[in-house]
Amino acid sequence: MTAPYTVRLNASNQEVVLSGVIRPEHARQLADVVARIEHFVADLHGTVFFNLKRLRHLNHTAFLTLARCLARICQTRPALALKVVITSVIPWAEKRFAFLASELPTLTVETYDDEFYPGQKLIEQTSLIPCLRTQTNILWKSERELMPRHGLTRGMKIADICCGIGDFAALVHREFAPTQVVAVDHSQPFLDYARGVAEQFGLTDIEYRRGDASNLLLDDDSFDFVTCRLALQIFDKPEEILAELYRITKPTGRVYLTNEFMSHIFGYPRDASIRWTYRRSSEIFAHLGMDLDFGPKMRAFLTDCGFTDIRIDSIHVSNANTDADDFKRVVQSWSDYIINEVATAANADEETKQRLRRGFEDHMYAITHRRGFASWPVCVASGQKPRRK
Amino acid sequence: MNSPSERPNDQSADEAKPVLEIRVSTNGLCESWLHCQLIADFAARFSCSNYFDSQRYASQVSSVLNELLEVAHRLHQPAGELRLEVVQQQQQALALYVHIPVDEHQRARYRALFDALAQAGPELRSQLLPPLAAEVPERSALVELVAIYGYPLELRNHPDDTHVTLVAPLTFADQRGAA
Repeated sequence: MTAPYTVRLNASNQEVVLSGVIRPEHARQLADVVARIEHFVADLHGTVFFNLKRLRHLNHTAFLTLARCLARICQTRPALALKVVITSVIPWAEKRFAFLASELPTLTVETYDDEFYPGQKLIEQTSLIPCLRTQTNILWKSERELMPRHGLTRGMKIADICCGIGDFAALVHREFAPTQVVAVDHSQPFLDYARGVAEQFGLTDIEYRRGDASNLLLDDDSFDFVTCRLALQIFDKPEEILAELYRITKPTGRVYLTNEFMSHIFGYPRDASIRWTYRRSSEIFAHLGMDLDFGPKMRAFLTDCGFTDIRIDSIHVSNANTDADDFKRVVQSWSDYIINEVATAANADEETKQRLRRGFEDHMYAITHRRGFASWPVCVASGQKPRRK
Repeated sequence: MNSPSERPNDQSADEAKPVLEIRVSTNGLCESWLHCQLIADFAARFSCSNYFDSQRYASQVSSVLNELLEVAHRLHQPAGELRLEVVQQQQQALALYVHIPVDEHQRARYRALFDALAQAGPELRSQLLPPLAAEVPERSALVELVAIYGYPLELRNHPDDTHVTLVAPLTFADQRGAA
């Protein structure tokens, strides 16, 4: 065998997990793997999952060996369903396993990141791009000041996971002159836009990659500073993403997070209407598996994941420290997006939508009112990956 | 390095831009199976570094190139120099050229492999899965590249009969999610 790979048999999930690079010269080099798989499935019933989400390469010899192992299982255990789970970010997998599914009657293939978190179709919309761009502009002036306190210095190796439209990675690159920036997002339209942003900035050395944040194809212990901004809040299993961020961070490196506290957005005048709208919006997101109140929970999640030296801050965007037109434009985008997309997906009734709309309008009114005060709290947290003992 | 226009029968030669050339001794290549992967991964990463979705494209290039190098490794070339060229043919297309030194016997083996591919036609897919009593792994790998992935592999003879060239044109645009 020529390259590192792992085979994990997870009995509680009835799952065989293959990861790494499997490129043997001879099929017999995988005899032990095949024997373990066959022994593992011997006592199982129902559906057995073959998780290949982090299998970076599989040469033909290994594929054929695995395929024949699966064919034998199909033949000897016709009542057992086999489900191969692949990711669309690995290009060789789809055609191979589609072929296999066409040959083996009880084998199916699931490309899991077609919808790998509940709100994916809602989040990866190009209509969000102007809103995301303005949000970054608003937050950048605070984050630029805060990030050194969270460990960012010049000349670091940085990963921006869930980079969205890539503008933050470009700003970090310009301001902190990292030795390497890798920016990962799952949305192809966002990444297309990101390339345009990088070109605008004259940056040719940001590496934008399409990928799945919960199964990153990045090596362990490889980045000094890993950012994941306004993203954990949209996943239903943020702890899985955080574990990946931990994995790719170098010992003593830091993970930097931002997340919102939506239900506590406020404004005055018309404060009751504003408060109702954001609390209701947070509930609607929660109904779709997203936690837009994740901000205050970051310390707990970072602690549980094993980070140390956790540092907490908050960014208090308000009409007193931010251009009112920019702030209003962001709220208008939230209004359009939450009412037309999110509330609709959650089957909210028209009365709720009307009341939501009124609250957003009241928030914009507060933003531009000469005596008004309006806020958008964003929580910031970072943790250090401890040195190995 | 040959200029692209020197490659015989290359219809897209006018647009072709050389990206990378690697020369290795065949004895060196065959010293370790791992060398196929190291060369494939390096060439793929280098060749795709300027593409937007570089990792995805590099994964595709590495997969194909590794298989071609493994074929060369399995057929144990006579001592000589294996030359790999990566050429950009269009915005979203690369071609891999693996020039392999051969003697008469080796040339016949390569020709037999490709003749069998051509003759199988639509039956090719069905040949992949059933275990064969005398399986030829290098043939099986080429079958997969042609029948499953649809790569139009080609074998070219060098005019002086000292080399054959494996040609694998790769198009990224047909990949899901490609820019």
